[in-house]
Amino acid sequence: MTHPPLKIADRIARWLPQIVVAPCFAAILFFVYGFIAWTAYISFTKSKMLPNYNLIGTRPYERLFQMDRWGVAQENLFIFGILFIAFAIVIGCLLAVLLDQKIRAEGFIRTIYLYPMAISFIITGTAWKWIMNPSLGLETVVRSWGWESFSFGWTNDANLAVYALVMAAVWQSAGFVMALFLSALRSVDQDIIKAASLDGASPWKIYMRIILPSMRPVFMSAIVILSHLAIKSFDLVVALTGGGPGYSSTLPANFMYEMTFRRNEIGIGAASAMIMLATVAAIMVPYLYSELRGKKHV
Amino acid sequence: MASLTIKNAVKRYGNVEVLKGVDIDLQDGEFLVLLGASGCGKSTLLNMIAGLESVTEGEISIGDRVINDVHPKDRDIAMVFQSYALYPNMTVAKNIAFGLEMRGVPKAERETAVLEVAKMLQMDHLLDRKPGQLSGGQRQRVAMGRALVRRPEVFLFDEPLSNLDAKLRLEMRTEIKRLHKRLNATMVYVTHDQIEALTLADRIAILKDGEVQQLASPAEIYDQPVNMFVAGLVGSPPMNFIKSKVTQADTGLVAEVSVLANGVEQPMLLDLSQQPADLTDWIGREVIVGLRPEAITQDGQGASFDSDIDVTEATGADTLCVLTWNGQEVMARVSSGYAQIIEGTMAFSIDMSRASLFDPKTEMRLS
Amino acid sequence: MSDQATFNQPRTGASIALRVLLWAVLIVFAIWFLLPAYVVVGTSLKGLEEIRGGSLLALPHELNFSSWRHAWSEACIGVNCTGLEPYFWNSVGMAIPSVIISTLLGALTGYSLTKFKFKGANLVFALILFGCFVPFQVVILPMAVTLGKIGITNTVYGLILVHSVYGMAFTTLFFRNYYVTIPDELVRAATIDGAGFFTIFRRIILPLSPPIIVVSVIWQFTQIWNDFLFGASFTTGGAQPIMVAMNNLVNTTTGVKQYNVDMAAALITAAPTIFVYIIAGRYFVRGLTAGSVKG
Repeated sequence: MTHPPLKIADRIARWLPQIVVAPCFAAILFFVYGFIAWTAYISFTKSKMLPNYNLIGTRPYERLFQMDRWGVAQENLFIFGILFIAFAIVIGCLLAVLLDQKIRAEGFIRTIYLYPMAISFIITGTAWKWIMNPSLGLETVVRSWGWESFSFGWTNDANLAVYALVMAAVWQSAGFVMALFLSALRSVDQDIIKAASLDGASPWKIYMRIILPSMRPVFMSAIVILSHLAIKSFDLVVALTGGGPGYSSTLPANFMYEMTFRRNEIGIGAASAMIMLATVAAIMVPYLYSELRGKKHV
Repeated sequence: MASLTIKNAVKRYGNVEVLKGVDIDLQDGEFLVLLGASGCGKSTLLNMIAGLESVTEGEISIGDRVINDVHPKDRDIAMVFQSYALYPNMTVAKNIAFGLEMRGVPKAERETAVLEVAKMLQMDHLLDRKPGQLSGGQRQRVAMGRALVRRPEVFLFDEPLSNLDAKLRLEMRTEIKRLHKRLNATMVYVTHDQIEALTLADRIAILKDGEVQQLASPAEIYDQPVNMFVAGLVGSPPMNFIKSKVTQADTGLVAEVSVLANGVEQPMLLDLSQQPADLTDWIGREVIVGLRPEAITQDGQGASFDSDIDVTEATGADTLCVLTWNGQEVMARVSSGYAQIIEGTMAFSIDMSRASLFDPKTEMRLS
Repeated sequence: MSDQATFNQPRTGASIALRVLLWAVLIVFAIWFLLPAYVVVGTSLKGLEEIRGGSLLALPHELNFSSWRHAWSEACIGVNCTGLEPYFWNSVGMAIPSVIISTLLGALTGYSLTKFKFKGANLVFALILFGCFVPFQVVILPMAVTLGKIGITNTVYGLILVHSVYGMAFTTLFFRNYYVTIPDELVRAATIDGAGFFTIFRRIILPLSPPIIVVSVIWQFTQIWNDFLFGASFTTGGAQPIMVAMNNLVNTTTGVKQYNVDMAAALITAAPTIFVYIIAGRYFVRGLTAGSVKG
């Protein structure tokens, strides 16, 4: 019996998949994980305008948590995150259920609801800032109709600026949640619905007892994606409130940018970025883990 | 054309041993069917022959060439897949020609070869269509054509008929048999359908848990199954297994069962004198008597007895009667004219020369 | 579509009332979604006098496109009064190569990861996937340093690199999730037919990929065009992409505040992605949901 050796070309071919994945993987390793490591390192140094590689322990974190600005940013993120996610899901879900009622112009209405997703947060912020302009915006218009106490100049009120962010962010994302829910509604097994209505369940009961509970995974996805969006929110603040008045509507992402690029506090900036990463990871890692594990294909 | 030798083939994924040392020697032109339930390792073995899975241990050779490390394209094999795996973006002609194109066969030559194969499979009118426009049976033909056109030394089939409806499956089965006769090529065919296996194979290898249970001709597999697994897998309805004690009677060794007749349990002695095995050690012990339904049939062809009929199932050509022996269901097969009675008692006869005896502990055939 | 399970029952009084309520809610939300678009377009067509004197919601007296021209070619961004035009082309020059590179690499990587499951492929995918969700704040600082070291800070090449790398995580996710739905047997059949890695990709896989390529291209283009963080962090002055320039234009405080020009600038900046949305909205939705529905 002869035992021919593997041809050289075949030997290379055997490694081709790995070779092809390599550039992408190397880039991700370097530009994501390497950079995370670098930022993590810097977050334990006294870096000011330029990176300084002398470790000083957790001092930057201690300083970070003593800063009122950071406290405000975190508190804002909490308020913004909760309200943004809640409203986006409630409105998105409501619109999806309503659009599922054999609406004649469904495609057209869906297009209207979803177009904000094509627009950047900068544009969204610019447009709503103009609408909320205290002297020329919607407030003046509504007051001229006779509703004298109407107030919509939220961006200029330190107590309301965060809610302006929530409103604009919900405006931008509700359509996306609607699209997510609508496609899930449409993929519910029609036989179950038929069986339920033969059993005498009313349409309302069918929705509440059968359809919505079966969409739990979609709720999960929506919550995870929206919270990820909330934590990363940066542009909207820049365009809509500029973080103000003062720093009343600043979010962690803006805090990080401010420290890193404007105040020459790289160490603090890096520490705040690491806190953001930890927050995202706390949400994403369990989610991704369950997603990947649950649908492993052999 | 070439022989195929599998020597102690082992496949492991991590610690899981999927194939536990398989030995199969295939003559040139032989048709081998790998039969087994899903997960038995039959598809893994086929993929190893194809080169789509590596061989952990052992050797696979085609002719006198060991092919363990030979790239699939250089093994001179062709494979027909369960899902047909037709390239959706190519026409039928391009699908069939793709393998030749990859091997650098000139265009004119390719076209002649494609046309020839298409004619052979009666699908020359489909050549310009895309797979999406074909019916299941037509796709199956294209998949066959793609394998045929290269005239490989070994053909591999991975459950090629399991996605077809019953009628087409029958047709294609005959077609494959005809092709094998005509090409006289070595073929390895994976299936879980025992009828396909019996009708197509020169030899059948029955796999369970990564081990070959029996490698033999269809007739031998059917008549002399090596163990109860094989006996139960092949044949429809499956072989009846009746637990019974071996005793010495005046006429020789017998196995005693009780038969329900006229509503009363009546003893019946099954004659074991025609068994090739030496049963002296088994006197007084329990054995499993394996009887195919057709060995219990209408009166007049062997030892006769009366039995109540629980249920009858007409299959057209013949009728299956469910009897009660030792409190268990036993299937008998009678010609359809015979069993008019739905309930009641009828006379049957048993052909004990076709019985198999098994050891109840090891489940192996007694020999 | 839900068959019986709708409010579309026999026309009783109650069902008609429900139907009216349903439409009322849908229309109120439609107005809410359209309000900013209406206000932006309306304001951009008005003169400054009209804006100051009239109502925000009033229709413009005449179609006056002068603010559009002004925003495009004359408005001052910082000290440069060039309008948005050069920045628009900056963005085009940044977006097109980034979209092509990230889509191509994503396709190849997704193909390798699904159709040639080598040891560790799942780990590689998980690591790449997490790259989609890393908050970019954690990478901008080292990225700024790296771009400086390579010497491409404040250039379009720097932004191309950044967007290609971080876009790749998403495109890999898209292609991987699409390619797992293509049966492996196709690749096996082609292997036995004698086709190699790249031949299978080019002849079998790529011809099946247009839908996901469209999704990837649209998603990447929208993301890159709409990016603000990277543009603001790694470029200044004339090298900025349009999104940053637009924000600067709006926030330039010298002189009289020209709301109409601001709104025209916003319109111009948003136009490409809105255009994409209008012609390929179907794929747009698919891209948005692809991130959440994993295979």
